Amino acid sequence: MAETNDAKKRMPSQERLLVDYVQRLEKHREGRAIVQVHLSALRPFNRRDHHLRAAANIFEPIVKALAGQLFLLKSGDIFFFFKNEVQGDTETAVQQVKYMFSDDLLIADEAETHTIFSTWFNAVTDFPEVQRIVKAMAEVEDRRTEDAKSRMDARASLRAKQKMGEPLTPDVLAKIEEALIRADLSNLVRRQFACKIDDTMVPTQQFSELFISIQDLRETLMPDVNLLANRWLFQHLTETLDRRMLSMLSKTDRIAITGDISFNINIRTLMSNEFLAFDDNVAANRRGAMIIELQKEDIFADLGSYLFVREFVQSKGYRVAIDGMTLEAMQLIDHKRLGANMVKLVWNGELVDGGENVQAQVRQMIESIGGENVVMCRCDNREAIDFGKSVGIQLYQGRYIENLLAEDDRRLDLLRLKRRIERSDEAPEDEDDFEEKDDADFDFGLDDD
Amino acid sequence: MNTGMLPGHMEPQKGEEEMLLQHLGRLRSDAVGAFAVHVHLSDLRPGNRQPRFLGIAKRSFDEFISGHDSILFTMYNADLVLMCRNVPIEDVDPVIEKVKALFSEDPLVQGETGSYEDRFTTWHDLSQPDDFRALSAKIKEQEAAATIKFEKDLDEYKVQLSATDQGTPLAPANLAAIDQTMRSTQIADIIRNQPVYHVIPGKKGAIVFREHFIAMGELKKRVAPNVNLFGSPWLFQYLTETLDRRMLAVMSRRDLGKTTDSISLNLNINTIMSRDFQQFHESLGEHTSQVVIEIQIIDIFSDLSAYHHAHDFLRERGYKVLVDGLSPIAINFFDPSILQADFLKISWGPEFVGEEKEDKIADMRRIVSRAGKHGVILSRVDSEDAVKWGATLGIARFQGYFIDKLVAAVSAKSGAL
Repeated sequence: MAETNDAKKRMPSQERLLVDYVQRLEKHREGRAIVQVHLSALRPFNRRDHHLRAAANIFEPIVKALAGQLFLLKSGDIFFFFKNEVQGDTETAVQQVKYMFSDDLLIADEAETHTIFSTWFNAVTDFPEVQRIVKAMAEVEDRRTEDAKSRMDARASLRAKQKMGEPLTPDVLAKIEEALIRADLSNLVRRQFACKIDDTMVPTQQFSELFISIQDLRETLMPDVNLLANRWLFQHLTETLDRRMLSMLSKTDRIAITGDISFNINIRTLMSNEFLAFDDNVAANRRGAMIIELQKEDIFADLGSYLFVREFVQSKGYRVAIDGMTLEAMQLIDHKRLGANMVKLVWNGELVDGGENVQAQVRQMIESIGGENVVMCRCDNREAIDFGKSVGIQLYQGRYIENLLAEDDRRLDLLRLKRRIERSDEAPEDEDDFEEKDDADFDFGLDDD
Repeated sequence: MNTGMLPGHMEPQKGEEEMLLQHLGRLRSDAVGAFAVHVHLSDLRPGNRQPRFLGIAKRSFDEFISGHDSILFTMYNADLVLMCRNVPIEDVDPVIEKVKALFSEDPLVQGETGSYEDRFTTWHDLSQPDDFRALSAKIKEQEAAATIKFEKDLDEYKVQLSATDQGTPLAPANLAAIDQTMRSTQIADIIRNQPVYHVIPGKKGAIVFREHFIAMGELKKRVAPNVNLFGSPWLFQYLTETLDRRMLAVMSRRDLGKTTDSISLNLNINTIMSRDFQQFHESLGEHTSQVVIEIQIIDIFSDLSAYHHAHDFLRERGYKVLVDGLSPIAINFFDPSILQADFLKISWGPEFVGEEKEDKIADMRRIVSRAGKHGVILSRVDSEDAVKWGATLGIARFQGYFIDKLVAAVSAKSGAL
């Protein structure tokens, strides 16, 4: 058994074989063409192994006649290389495959969602493009297997330990929870803004998320402990933090709460006396300014409780957001039925790597939720916003947005400074028109700042 | 805080039937403008009758009561009776709708308030002698029932208390000690199994596989007789990772090669990627196809990509993957076929019989067929009704006490199984 496992490990993936093949093709490009059939975009229940094998079999006669070569990738996509003289046969084969999946959304809504079933390449002119695509696919596959291996690797966990500290144990958790009862956490509360971003990348604040910084908490209480190492223990810790957060939110002298706010909470906490007491203390008109963020795993751990509690808090006037959504979770979950007011999609570079089909899928989902109800969170670069805008998302949150806000503050400071200088230099002007001035000439203020 | 104690473990509190009857007595002479709304929370599905739900439902009336001439009475069976005088119906409707909305997934609230189909509330115009008598009679009846039920519940509660079943809650402080005990306690003799059975109408069925699990009641007696292990779901999950490792060690020593029977094990995703699993895997040799790994939905949703790694990892090595912990409600909210598991296990509850709306049934039937009929298992089947209910959805594989009896009967008849 162990032997076959090793053999499997050494066996190169279809993706790697494809890269090799394309490399060798470089010298024999003349008179050949390539088609990529995007079966990866099919709905999962159409993407079962036997479906994919059946699709690949349709190309079998051309392969047997030595006029083509087929690669069936892990994602489900087919790459078929063929000689120009069998172009007609290949087109027929692709049509047949398409017919096989004709009830799938990918095909049914092709025109509407701008999804693509197949992409055709000329081996001579499009060669660099093909090279780029197959390399990217092989890298994704390598990373995937690498990840799976590292999960089993003691070395990897050792490294994590050295970098992040000792994993959280029940005893340490008990000590932390004990300390949390007395500690003043108000200086650990952070806020991060969710903003609209206009075309010139200027952010406008919509609401702010309040949270207790786990990083700072760790440094304050247990610098050598990795609080996130065991997720079940961490989840338990979050229930304690929930209660502390609620009590701080009740005492507005502890932390300044202005504008609309959101905070993360466990569903169990929403049904606790602490939340009911908090709710009693909140002025009725403030409830509409509060967004309660719930994690998707918490929701599915006990759907009955979620449905009940969602109704309860919404009827009180709070809004509900589902946090921690990924592309896959969005595909999996019927968010409409869940009846939340908002969805938070976690930014991930893979959204862009997915190409046009993923983009089209996401755009359609955002449309159904309403772009104003979706927050792209954890944005750490400009790419996140560009992608978000391309699919209709209107709200953004994350480190990059915080930078934009800081930049915007600086810009406004400079404008004010400029206005002051102008005022002292010249006769007083109309206050409203300073923004129409050319922005380029206030750079002089930068060094002084 | 009420740390998620099971309803049966709460100390029973008397209802306010008597107070309501006294109130009605005082009202009898002057009932002009008085009316009552009887809210039948006792007819909710059991899952919706949790004390914490009922507490919140009751609180929803607070604001209304402080602003109107009205009183709320709580019956022992969880029903609420709202007594009002000269309150505009338009003011009452919103608060009733609010409470109703809390239970929007419950069949009880399907009828429109005040309509003939409304089973959620009954309205009584107390200035009408007939209505007055009807309510009084109803409450007297409930009072009688409540007295008997209260005594019974109190006895049960005392028995439970003395059995120290409730005990100290599981907490970080006692978790390490319990975990340590679990690592060294003998468990091989408390591993039980329960078959999943393929029912074929008119024919002898077949066992699909046998789920192996540790009998929790027995284990609790051994490792933590005075602790309520289920008080915190997260801390309990933590313990299951230790149990996984113990289970794998025991199962590695059992020789699967001797039979062609299949088994299933419930494991955390973390465990699947651990060295303990690797050792179990090596002990199996070429018998991996006889092993089904059950993964909990809560584990899956907390890290979907980890699930996919584990899924591919298992499938590539010949195992089958089962997604466990689905409720019939859950599959209305997500499409489990995207998880590409070999089996989906849906837990049945008696509240699902005959109460689902036609379009929901149709929805579920579609989900079952999409997930592949062969892959869906209805678990916790404790009656023939459950089997019938599953069959209407196209399900043919079942697990539960009722099935255990069935399998025992079949094997007794055929001599061996």
